[in-house]
Amino acid sequence: MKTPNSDNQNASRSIAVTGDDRLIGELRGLLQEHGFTLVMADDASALASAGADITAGLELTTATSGEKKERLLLLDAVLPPSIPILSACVTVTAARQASWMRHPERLVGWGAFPGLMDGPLAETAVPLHTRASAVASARALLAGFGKEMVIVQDRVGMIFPGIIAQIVNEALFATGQHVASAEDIDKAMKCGAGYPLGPIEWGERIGFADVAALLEAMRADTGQDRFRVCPLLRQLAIVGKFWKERPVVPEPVQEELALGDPGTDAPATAKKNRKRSKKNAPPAQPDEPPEAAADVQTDAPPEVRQEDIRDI
Amino acid sequence: MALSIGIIGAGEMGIAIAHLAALSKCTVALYDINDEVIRRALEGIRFALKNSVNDTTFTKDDLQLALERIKKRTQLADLDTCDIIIEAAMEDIRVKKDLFKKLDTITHYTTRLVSTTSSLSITAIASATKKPERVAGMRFFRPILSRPLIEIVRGANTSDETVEAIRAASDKLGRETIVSRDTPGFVVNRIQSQFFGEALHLLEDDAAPAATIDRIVQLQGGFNAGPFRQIDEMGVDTHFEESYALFERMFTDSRYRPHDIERQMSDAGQRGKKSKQGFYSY
Repeated sequence: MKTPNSDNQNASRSIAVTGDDRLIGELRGLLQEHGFTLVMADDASALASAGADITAGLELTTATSGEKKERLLLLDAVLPPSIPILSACVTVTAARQASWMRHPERLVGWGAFPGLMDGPLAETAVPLHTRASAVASARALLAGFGKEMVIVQDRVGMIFPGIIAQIVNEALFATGQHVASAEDIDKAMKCGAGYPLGPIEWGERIGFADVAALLEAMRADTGQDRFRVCPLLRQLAIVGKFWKERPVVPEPVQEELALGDPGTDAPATAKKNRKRSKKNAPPAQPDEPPEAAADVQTDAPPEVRQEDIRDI
Repeated sequence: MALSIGIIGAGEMGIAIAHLAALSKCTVALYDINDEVIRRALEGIRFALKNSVNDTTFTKDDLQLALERIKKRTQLADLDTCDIIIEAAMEDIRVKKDLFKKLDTITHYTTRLVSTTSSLSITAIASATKKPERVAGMRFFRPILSRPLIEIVRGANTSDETVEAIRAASDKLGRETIVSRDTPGFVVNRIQSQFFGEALHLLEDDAAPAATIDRIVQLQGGFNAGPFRQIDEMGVDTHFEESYALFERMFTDSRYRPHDIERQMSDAGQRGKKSKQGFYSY
């Protein structure tokens, strides 16, 4: 697996990597751009070929499952104890991960999370037993691919991933409760609060399953109910669909809305007609295909003419 | 014929809306109970508009026309000819209900009555009127002249016609619109409650200093400013009051819990930029 690069001037900048394909994929370009060579830690022959060229290990699994532990232990086993290891610690604290390892003194946690790898900072967490030289090596490694290391508390969610997960969750609570449409919620936060992306767009970028998993991890870690995953996010996480595929949000029939039934300036006869049409309406079809449901949901406002403004 | 807008309250919000409306070629009736307050408000608008004068996009003639569009009013009854009346009074449900009750009697039933409230229920405010279908919320965002959004809040009885009329008026003001149901915090404040709330939880837990959290949010998230800088801008006390109101309206759901750190700062006079001390020193 040793690439041609490993024999040239960048040969001493090889990194042994394990983790999720997506996160590795998001980092691969950045690392290669800065002259690093990635060696997959589960590829024994590549690892053997890289040998002494490997200067660090990266564990990039975001899940809390046993897979994370297995991969970290693999790195811990195949790399000499002097080599520092950076491990994604947004869903599992670095301290917890260190407790699994034979050589915990070399571990530095990194807030690597899908969709959030673009910025110039690297949130990191340093467990109690980590030696100063490992921290210095991690700082140098991160600087080597253009990231400034910022040490924060070792906690599930860290700083930005936790904040953004709560924002996405709240937006989906509001969407599910028909406070506003998903499009309007994104627009509101971008135009009204100066967000660079709308909350639903953030969720789409990170992946709803990862957002839900992070919130579950935060809830499990703190025992706090404020991290409870909203029903719509739970569904999106299970289905695994991104927002562009438009999940169908159940929409009550207009006439049956208790709170959402708007008053009207229309004459009373129109109200009577509505009641009549409700009586004669066919039963609702719960399993309509998404296309049909999307049509029903369309609530584009009627075109407003200049004379309407004058008439108000 | 230009859209005629009545504005109740010549405070910061009312002044900014009057400024925006005058620039958007609407006629404005600016009402406040205090004549001196309105005089100072008009002076402030004149000063701000003068600073916008240039040779091409906003000339001295444009300035004169804009100023002529704003009329001083000290009697509520003088707003009876307005197409839309925007209430920007203090955030007190009794004050607002009293105002809307009066407006209900002095205005034609086709006049749309809107509140700029950020934390009170539109449905509750509308309940003071006999025609709640013409009442809605119209939330502006600071800085009003540069934030391009108006959040239209549909109360339980707000009619479609009222929503569309407000949408048209917002369009006239050059603003994008979204429509929200009348639920606590509407859209923006509700979602912002998590942005600020989570940051405050992190600070309370000593996860990182305020400046570090701000820096991470700004640089990693691409936000214009971090949560603590934003709270300082709006006022620590103001944010605490808004958070508390949301928490109460959400039946004390822990997701919206306000933070003692803000209460203590408010009590200590550390109210943000306006007091030269908040999460940062100014």
